[in-house]
Amino acid sequence: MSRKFRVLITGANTATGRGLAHELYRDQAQIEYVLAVGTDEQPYYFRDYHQDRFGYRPVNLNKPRQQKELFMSEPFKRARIDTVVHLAFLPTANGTSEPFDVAVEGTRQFLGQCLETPSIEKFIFNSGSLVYKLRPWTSCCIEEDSELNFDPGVDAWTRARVDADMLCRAKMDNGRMRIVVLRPSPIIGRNISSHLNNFLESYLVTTIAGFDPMMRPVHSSDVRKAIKLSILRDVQGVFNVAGPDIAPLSEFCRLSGRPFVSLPFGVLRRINRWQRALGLTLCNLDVEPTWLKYSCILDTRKAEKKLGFEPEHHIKFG
Amino acid sequence: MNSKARARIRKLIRALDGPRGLERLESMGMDDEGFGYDRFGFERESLYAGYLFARQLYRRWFRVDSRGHENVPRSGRAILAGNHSGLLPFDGAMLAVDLLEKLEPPRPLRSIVDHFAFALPFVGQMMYRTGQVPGTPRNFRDLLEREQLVLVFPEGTKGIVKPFSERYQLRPFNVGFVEIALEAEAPIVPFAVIGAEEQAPVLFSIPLLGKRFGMPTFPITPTFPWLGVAGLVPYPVKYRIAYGEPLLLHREYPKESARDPDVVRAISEKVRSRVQGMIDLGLELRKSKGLVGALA
Repeated sequence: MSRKFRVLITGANTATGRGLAHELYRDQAQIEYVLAVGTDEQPYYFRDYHQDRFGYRPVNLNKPRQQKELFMSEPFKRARIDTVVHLAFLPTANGTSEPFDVAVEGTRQFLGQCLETPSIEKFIFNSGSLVYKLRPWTSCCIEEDSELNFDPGVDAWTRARVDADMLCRAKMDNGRMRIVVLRPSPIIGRNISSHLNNFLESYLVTTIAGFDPMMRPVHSSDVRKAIKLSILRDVQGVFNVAGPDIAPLSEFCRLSGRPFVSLPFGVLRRINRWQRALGLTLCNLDVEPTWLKYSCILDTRKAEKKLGFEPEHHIKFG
Repeated sequence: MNSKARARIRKLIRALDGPRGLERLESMGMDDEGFGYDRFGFERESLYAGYLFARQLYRRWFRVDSRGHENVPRSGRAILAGNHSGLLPFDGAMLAVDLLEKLEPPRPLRSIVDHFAFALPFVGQMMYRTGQVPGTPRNFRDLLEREQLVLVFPEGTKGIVKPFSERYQLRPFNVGFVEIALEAEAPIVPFAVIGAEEQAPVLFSIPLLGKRFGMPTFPITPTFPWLGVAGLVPYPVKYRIAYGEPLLLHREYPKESARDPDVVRAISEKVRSRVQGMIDLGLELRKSKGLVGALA
């Protein structure tokens, strides 16, 4: 009889977290129990789930006391969690009330708590392709060991993401708990707040004149699939996750059906600030805009080989 | 490029070259990732557009005369390595046109280009679309893995800004292309371009000024920067291109020799001396010497 997993998901209120919790809950053959952790009270979409197989706790992971209470709580102990999926780390540069360094510290403490919990055997961290340094000299295909963005001039959000990614990598040789870092390409999907999704959902999509980088976005379903494979497979390490479609940014702008214009970067930045102020976009181009200039095609050969990950969903809009 | 623009370019080629001309170009191989681009950003129709423009230069401005096409593989991975000169890389463009014109079926030439060009708006985009990639080992290996014909100028940018007084004297070759050729078991086809070294005589260069503009150096010619951008227009020199016999390294050296710096350096020198020999022969064959010979 194959082993069944008992999984804790942070960021269960996000679109990815909600979808993942749902998929894991439905997979009775391989998943025994799901404990979802979100920042708000239990949302309506989790209310019909059976308590024997599903639990929900509101926890702000940036607050050490709440974190400690989670690990000390009776429901957590009863759940005997063996796998943690950490999705709660700064999904977007917008709408966070916590300073970014607090979020990094929260992740550091959360990882430490997981390491101290004997039942937890695996920790999966959802990082992102924005941690890579994109410059004119970057190779078109980016492998997992490509240079990360340690640029001292980089914005605080990107730096926080790189820091959290590095925290997880630094603990990989702990000898007890397996750590998996997934670095998905920009995610496209309903209610997903990735930088590319927010960008393409703007009322007027604005790109940098003279640049049309190649991209390989990934559908949210494929990201959930990669996370699930990370839970089920006996793996550790960093894995790039990307979709089957490779095309320039302009092709995805066309597919999105939104009007788009190309402008010099200085003008574009100002327009983006106005758009954000007027609520016409959620995309923040003050945050590491190099993805609008230089290609970022993630090399997924490692994920294909070790995780058995094959992207299935092509990018569609509407 | 949207579908309408793509259709317009095809229509233009059909009008200029007839259906056979278009069919010939369409027979060119390409790794389409599903949207009409390969993963490096190469787009067939952008190459066609570039080809339509550049072949006017090829036929009328540089009046290119080429030989030795039998040495260029019709399929499979291969590296073209030769001399680089002329301030702006018209030599690369003319080689690309030459292979589209003379090879059957035509092969797109994938050039390894200094990355500073890809930081420039429009220029970088045009380069990606016409098949050029930033010069990184990974890009180079990926192209060979995909059985492409890759163009390298082992002199690098030092070649294009060398002073006029040192024309046709090759700068030391970089060795990275040899390492990759050995690893990928790819033949190296040496080539020489005669004429390009006289298209924009560099009097001297100011590297510090170049750095200010994000370029490797700032060259001074009889016309640049005095005439502004117009000063970069090349002289109408006649190009003579020769492709030499390929060096089948994998028959002589095992893959592991890519890690031996002495072997790599020796092969690089061998390629360099082959190219220098072809240049010397080409100059001898040119009837008149100096700038008159270059123009005629």
